[in-house]
Amino acid sequence: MIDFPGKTLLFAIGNSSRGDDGLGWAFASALEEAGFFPGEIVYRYQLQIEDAELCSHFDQVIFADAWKTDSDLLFAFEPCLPKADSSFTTHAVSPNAILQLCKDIYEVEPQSWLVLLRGARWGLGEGLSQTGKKGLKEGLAFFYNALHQRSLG
Amino acid sequence: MNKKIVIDPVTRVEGHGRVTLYLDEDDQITNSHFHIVEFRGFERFIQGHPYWEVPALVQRLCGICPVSHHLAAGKAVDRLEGLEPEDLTPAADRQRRLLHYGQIFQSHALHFFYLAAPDLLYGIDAPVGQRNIVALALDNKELARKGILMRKFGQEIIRAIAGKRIHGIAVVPGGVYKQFTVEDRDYFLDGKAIPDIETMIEWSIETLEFLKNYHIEHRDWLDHFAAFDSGHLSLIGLNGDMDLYHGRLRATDANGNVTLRDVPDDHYRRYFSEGVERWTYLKFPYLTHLGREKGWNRVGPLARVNICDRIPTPLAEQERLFFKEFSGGLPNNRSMYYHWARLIEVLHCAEVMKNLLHDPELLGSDLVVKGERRSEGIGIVEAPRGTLIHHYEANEKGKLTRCNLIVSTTHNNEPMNRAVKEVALQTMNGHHEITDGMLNGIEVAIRAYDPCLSCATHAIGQMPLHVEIIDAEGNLVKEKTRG
Repeated sequence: MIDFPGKTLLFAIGNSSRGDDGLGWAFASALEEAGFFPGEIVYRYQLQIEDAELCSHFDQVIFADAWKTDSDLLFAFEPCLPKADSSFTTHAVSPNAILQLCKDIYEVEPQSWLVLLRGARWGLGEGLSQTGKKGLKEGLAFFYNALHQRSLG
Repeated sequence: MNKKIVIDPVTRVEGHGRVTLYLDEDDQITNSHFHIVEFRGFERFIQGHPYWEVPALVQRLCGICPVSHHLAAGKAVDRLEGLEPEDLTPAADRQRRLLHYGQIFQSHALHFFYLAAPDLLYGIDAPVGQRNIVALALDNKELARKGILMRKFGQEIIRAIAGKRIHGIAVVPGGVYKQFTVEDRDYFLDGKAIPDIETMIEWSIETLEFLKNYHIEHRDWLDHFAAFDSGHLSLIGLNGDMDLYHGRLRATDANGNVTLRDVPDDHYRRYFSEGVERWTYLKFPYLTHLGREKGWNRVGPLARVNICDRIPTPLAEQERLFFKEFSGGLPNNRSMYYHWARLIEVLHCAEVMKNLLHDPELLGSDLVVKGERRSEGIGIVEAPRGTLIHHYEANEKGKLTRCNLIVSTTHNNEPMNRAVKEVALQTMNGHHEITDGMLNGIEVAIRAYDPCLSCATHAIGQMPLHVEIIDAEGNLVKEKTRG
């Protein structure tokens, strides 16, 4: 379970104009509106190489993004480890690769997690799908619970 | 048996692209297509929205160059408000220019350090696992660090003008949203929080020197790889100066003869047509008077450096003159020289940003002017990847009734297709086995143009490289996935 020691950074990744691609932003916006996320939130269309430098200033990093998956899960929360993976395919960089760059260049390895929110539709101008909304609700409930536990000490 | 080879999607190219190569029975290349597999649909999506919302809405078109779309749309909306670029206040003009040059600086830095440098340093025959930024960071930590900080500098310029949130607003109809403060300016000049603008110029020169030496050492390959004659198109400023924010349209042929002579940007429709092909959503723009076969042009850094008479900043101009001399005094028609031209523009952008940061007009408080409404607005900028055209029509209630976008990658559609075919003919013709190195070559050629294909979604789980070889009957002969 995440307990937010030290400085925490949340990357919200996506694009709210493209259906469930906006799940990462919706997740972060809800946390922001709730007003008790104990860290900094940044919004990104995609992760970029300079985000490795940003990560180097934090103890914990969370990446929230939409998720294309064949599993039945609506939401997943899992550790994210540095890895020079094959995401070097576009201008966008994967969270694992960002952490690897952070480790290689800045010699910092923040503890990191992925918040994966299952999406179903990705069209321009579409809102969140029912699947997306359910995953978002589940993800937020998980986080609110974690934050509540933390507040109880 | 005829075979069809599909590379899907192309690695390190934005969005989803796919390459299909057609071979005959003797493994000779007979044809090639570079496809775009996602349809944006943005032009329909935006209809019915009030025109003043456009600069904000278009940022969502693309996660890579939202600022370029923001500015091109802003210029178009100015014209819907009855305003020409010269009508804006000096403060608005300077802020928009700083935003634009900051965007190009960071985009070019990303392309060179992250996308191009691995190809150049490790060679196109190196495995994908080695040709990437992580390998580069391990082997050349200082180079990687500088690349990241140059990229960050440009991003910080954008943040200072457009705001911290991803959908920041800089451009409003007739001007800009907020004043640029002394504190904003000093952040980029004092070198306390981030390396200062002088350091950006110094690092731009260093990077350029590295690439020039690379060109000297590898001239034979760079001169012949994906080299083919083309027209060149860009905006051009006063007196033929390079101007990436505003100007007239100029085109030349492969030998430098002018084919479009400095026409007003909002007259573009008189001179351009767009061809279509059944196998791609992306159109093929061309100069109408030259026709579909002869009227297509390269756009972007190579075209701009070829076309301009002068770069109006001294260090970049010196570099342009050397580039021109290296190219034999003629327009350069070699795809791999895009990288060199891009770095000349990086230096130019750094010099322009320095000038703007020292310009007192940047800090002005007179931000917006009003004009008389028109029904049509056209805005054109030179985006990082080339000429970007936004064109809108609005009804009397201010609702958009028509939108036409010609993005840089569309102009480069024909050149990229030619580049693919050129490399395929050079490296694959007559070979029985298609090696990874050959496929890499195709990708390297496309990557030189830095295409932005679709502004696609990027959910986790997407974007492996998938290679298929399919015979003429549609049977899958071979399949390979990178990832």
